[in-house]
This record gives sequence, structure tokens and C-alpha cells, in this order.
Amino acid sequence: MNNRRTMENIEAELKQLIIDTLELEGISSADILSEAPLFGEGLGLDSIDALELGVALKKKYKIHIDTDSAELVNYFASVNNLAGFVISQQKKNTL
Amino acid sequence: MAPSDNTQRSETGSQETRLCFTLGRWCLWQSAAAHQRDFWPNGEVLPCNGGSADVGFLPMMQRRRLSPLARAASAVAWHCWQKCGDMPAVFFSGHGESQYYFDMLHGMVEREETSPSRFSLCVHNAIAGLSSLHRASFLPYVSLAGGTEGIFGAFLEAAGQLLDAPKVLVVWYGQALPEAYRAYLATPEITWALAMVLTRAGGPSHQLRLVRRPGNSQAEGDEQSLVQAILDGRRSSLCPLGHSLWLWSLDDA
Repeated sequence: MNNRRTMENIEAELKQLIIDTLELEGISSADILSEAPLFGEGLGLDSIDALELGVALKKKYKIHIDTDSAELVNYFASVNNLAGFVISQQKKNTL
Repeated sequence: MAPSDNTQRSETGSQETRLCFTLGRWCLWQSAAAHQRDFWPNGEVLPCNGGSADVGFLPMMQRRRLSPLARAASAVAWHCWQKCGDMPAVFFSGHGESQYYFDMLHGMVEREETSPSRFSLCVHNAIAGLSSLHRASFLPYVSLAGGTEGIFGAFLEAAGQLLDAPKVLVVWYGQALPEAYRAYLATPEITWALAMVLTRAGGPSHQLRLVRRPGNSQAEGDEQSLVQAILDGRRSSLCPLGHSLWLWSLDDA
């Protein structure tokens, strides 16, 4: 139950982070579906947005993002995936 | 007729460069409201809009990253393209996104991570590139900075482009420099952008004539006085720029 609440909280935080960081004027958290694609179709973000988001994530959650990782595209595919990635990286930090 | 009459020796033996264009259209925006009413013909001054140029013609995903300077340049370019169709462009700004790159340098000193979008938009041709994207154009554009001839360098470039193209858009924009630079260089106090549609000399509209003479003046002229002249309806002036003296006039067709 706690894990689920953490996931939901992180997702809500990420949606607001995406809106603020990427200056998505006129879009609210409710407009971003957790499972919807963030890039290309869906929200329509581009490669510069991905870089900008990476900087914001590192700053807010103090996590490491391995840019050589083959999984990176998957981590950034949706808010849902991104939340899972943030939680996993935070766990690594506490080990 | 060629856009540039030619380069020739004056009576005093010094070399002169003469340019002549037909001014098809112009559009100006500045962050302070203009109260003048005797503007130059064939143009418009866009509403000040509270100090931020209106770019509501763009979808949100395109306008969200535009800086105040990029909004100004995009707005005047867009209005000229809407009136006159797509054409090659010469973008000119003395110092471009000076506030962005100063902030970025400051952040690097503080060991902060650089914003990728800010970094990409600091590049001098970023505004020209975005404008090209806005109108989905495949026509060429160049982006010029500073130089000893100031904005007149952009007119020289336009004259060259008019040898190939029937019309060219010149977009000139600037903003106040960051405080740290102001002790070294004169800077405007406002953000502004001017777009001009130029065609070859002899067209059925007003003729913009420019003459460059070699100069050796200690006095640096205020090239931005050209913008003020447009607002005041003044049709001729001169601008000393150290090694050159530029004389310009707007004559009836």
C-alpha cells in the first residue's frame, strides 16, 4: 500500500515538474496521463525536452542518470515509467 | 536593376558603396509603447502588449521556449511573411541573447547544470532557425552578429541575396545588455525588433538608399536612431560608425 502511495505521489510530482520545467502553458497535471507516451505522439515532447527533464530530475531527486544506458528511452517513455525509474534510483542512493 | 548601384570613387577620391532597395513592407515591435503617429508608409507598429510581443499565432508547443527577444523577432518576421509571402531572410542582432548567455556563464561559475534548452537557444542563429520552423520554410536564411558596420552589414548581405532572390526579409532585433556589460558598451533600454521586406531598386514603392563612405570618426553613431526615424517619419539621416559613415534616405517611388 505504501509503495503504491509513493508511486502515485511521485507521478503527481513528476507531472508538475514536467509542466513547470518545460513551460507547458495551459496544461494541467490532469491532462497528462501516467501511461501515455511523453515523446512524439501523446504530449509531443522532443529531444531537448528529454535533456531538460534529465537536468530537472537530477536536481530534484539527486539521482544519477546513466546516459549510456540502453534502457533510458524506456525510462522516459511515460510518467509511469519515469516514476518507477526515480524510485529505483532513490533506493540505490539509500543503499 | 541590381540592388546595389555599385562601388565607385567619389569626387574626393574615397571609395563609396551605394545600395538601393525598394521597401515593400516593414513591421516594428518594441517593449515601450510608441506614441508617434507619423510612421513611415507601408508598415505597422505592433501593440506593445504589456512589454511582451504577442505570438499567439504560434501553437503553444512552439511559443513556449521563445525568450522575450525571440518573441519580438518572430512576431515582426511573421507579420511580414503573412503580408508578402515566404522569402529568404537576413537576421541581424548585435549581441543576440546576451541575457541568456550571461546567466549561463554565471551558472557555470556557480557549478550549476546548464539548461539544455537555454544553451541551444543562445546560439546566434537560433531565433532565425525557430522563425524558419514557424513558417515551415525551406528557403535560406543567415544570422549575422555585431561587426564594424552594425545593421548596415545586414543591408550589404541583403543586397547580395537580391542578386538571386526577388525579395529578402531583413529582421533586426536587440535588447538591453546585462548590467555587467553596460560600463563598456552603449545599450538600448528596451527590447525591440524590426522587419523589412526589401526588393530590388526601381520597384513601385519607396526607395531606401544607403551610402557608405570611409570614415574616421571618434563619435559612435546610434544606429538605433533608424528605428526612431521610422516612428518619427524622418526620411534621412547619417550614422558614423568609426571606420565608416552611413547615409540613408527613404525616397518616394
